[in-house]
Amino acid sequence: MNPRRSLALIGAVALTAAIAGCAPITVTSFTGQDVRVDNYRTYGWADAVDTGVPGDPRLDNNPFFHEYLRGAIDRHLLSRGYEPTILRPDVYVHYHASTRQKVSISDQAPATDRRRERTAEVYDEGTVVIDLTDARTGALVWRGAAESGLAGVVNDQTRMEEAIERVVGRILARLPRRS
Amino acid sequence: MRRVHALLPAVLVGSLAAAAAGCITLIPVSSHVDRGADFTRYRTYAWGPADALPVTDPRLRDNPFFIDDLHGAIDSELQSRGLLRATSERADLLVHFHAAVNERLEVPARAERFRECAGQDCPATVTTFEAGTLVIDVLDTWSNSVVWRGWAEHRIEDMLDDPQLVGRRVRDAVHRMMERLPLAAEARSRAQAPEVTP
Repeated sequence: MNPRRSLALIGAVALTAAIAGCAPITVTSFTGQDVRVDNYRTYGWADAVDTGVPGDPRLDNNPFFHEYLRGAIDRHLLSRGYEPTILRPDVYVHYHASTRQKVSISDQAPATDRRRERTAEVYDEGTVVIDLTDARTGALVWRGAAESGLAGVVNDQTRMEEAIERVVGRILARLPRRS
Repeated sequence: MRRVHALLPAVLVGSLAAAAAGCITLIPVSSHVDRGADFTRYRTYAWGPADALPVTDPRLRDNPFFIDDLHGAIDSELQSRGLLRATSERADLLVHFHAAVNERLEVPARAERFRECAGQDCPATVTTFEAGTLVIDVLDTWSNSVVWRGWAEHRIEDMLDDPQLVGRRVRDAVHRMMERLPLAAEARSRAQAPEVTP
C-alpha cells in the first residue's frame, strides 16, 4: 500500500477511535529511587487540592469533574490494596489535571496533480497526574500520569465519567499492588 | 421528492446567510449536574459573590453592556422557569457566572486552503482565534455545593465591537444553557399558572 495512503488510513482510524470515545491513552509512571511503594499501606488526601484545570474553563473548579476524579482514585487505590485513613496516613495523594490543544500533521493521499498536500489536525488533550508523597518526609514516592484525547468528552457528563474511570484505572494499574 | 431536493440548496443558502448575518447562532452549550439534587424544592435564587474565576477579559469585564445583558438574560430565564428572585429571605439557590477568553487553534476550512495553495505545494496551516467561554454555576445554599454548571462557547472576535450582537448572542446562549437546567415541571407550572385572586 502507498505509504501516504497508509498514513491517511492510520489517521482516519485514530480519529474514529477518538470520536468513538476510546481515544488512545498514553501512560507513564515513576517510582522514587530505592522506594518500595507497596511498603506503604494507608493513604490520605493532601489538604490543598488544586481544583484549577489550566486550559479548560469548563473544568476549572468544576466540582462534578473533581469529585468524580477523586472518587475514581479512591476506588482504584482500594482495589490495589491501599487503605484510606484520615489519621496519620503513610502517603498523601495529590492530583493535577490540565488540558491543552495539540496539532497533528499528516500527508494526505496524493491529489490529482503533483502537489504535495499536508493537513493539520487540532485536538484537545487532557493530562492527569497522580502523585503519592511520603507523609513523614514529603518526598515523592510515586507519580503516574496519563494523556488522552478529549474529543466530545467534557460536554457529555457520562462520557467524562467513563473517561476518568478509564484513565485513572490505567494510571493506577502501574502502582505496585499490595498483597 | 424531487421538489424537496430542489428546495434543499435554497434552504441551505438561506440558513448560511442568516447565520452569517448573526440571526442564527450555533453556540455549543452543555452542562454538568448533581444527579442527586432535588430540583423540585428550589423556589428562590439570588446572585452569589464572584468566585476565583471572575470575568477574565478586560474587554468583557469593563463592558457594561455585556454584564447587563448577561444579568438580564439569566434573571429572565430563571424567572420564566418559575424561580423567584429572593429579596430579604435566604435564597434556595445562588447563581454566579464567569466568562473566560482563551486563544485557541483551528485548521482553516478546506476551500480557504485550496485557494491559498493553487498551483503549488500545500503546507499544513493552523491559525488562532479567540474563544469565549461563558460558565454559569448554580449553588444550593443549604448544602453550599454546586448543583448545576452550564456553559457556552463561541468565537468572540467578530462580535466585541457590536453591543447588539453581543446581547443577542448572550441571550441565545443563556436560553439554550438554561434549557438544560433540570428545574421540575412543578416549578415551570408555577411560572405558567394564572394568578388566582380571592
